[in-house]
Amino acid sequence: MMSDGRNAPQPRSVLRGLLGPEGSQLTCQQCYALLDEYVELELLGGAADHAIPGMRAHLDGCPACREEHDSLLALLEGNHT
Amino acid sequence: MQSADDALLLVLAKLDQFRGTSLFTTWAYKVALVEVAVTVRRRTWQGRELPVEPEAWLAQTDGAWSVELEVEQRELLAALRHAIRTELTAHQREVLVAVVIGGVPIDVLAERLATSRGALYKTIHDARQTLRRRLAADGLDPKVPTAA
Repeated sequence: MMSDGRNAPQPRSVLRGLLGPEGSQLTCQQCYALLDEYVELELLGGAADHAIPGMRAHLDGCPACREEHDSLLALLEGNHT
Repeated sequence: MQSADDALLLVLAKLDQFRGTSLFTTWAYKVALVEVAVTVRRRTWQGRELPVEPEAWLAQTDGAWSVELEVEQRELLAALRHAIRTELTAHQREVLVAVVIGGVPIDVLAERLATSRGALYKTIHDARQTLRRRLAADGLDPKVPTAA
């Protein structure tokens, strides 16, 4: 879902958004470079988070990268079914 | 048909970035999909004002939001509001509040502020680290449950 700021933010999600994920994480640039590999590992049911540490935390903290991840995952899931 | 041509040109232009760590089709989907997502977000926000001013949000959270939160989270919110005012720079406040509260996509905000998505995410990351350090110094646990 595209976030366009028209919906009122929920207090708990705002608290989580303000604080962000714990631990080290990738940058947006690193996330983009590794996103295809990460999503394939997720689809294979493998250890995506073990293979690419810091990706999950970045996706939890960056709404735009999360949206692109979710779209790519949905597209590939559709192709696999 | 035009879109398919555009996507093909885009993939060809970035071909030297393909490292072979995924299927070529997965990589090509990523390249095209991210390009489309960025374009859609920018068009969605074209001509629109940023929806939230930091000071307006900080004032707003005094009231309605507090009643929806548990006691511990109200305390966390109050500490966060204070830390946002006192610990963050004006730039950090503007970026964090616009993206997290206002839902402004980070690439849209980067374009408005004439900077890069990566630079803005670093600003957000640094601001969050500062807030977490402040909460820890105040003896507060920054964990927020996903359910009410």
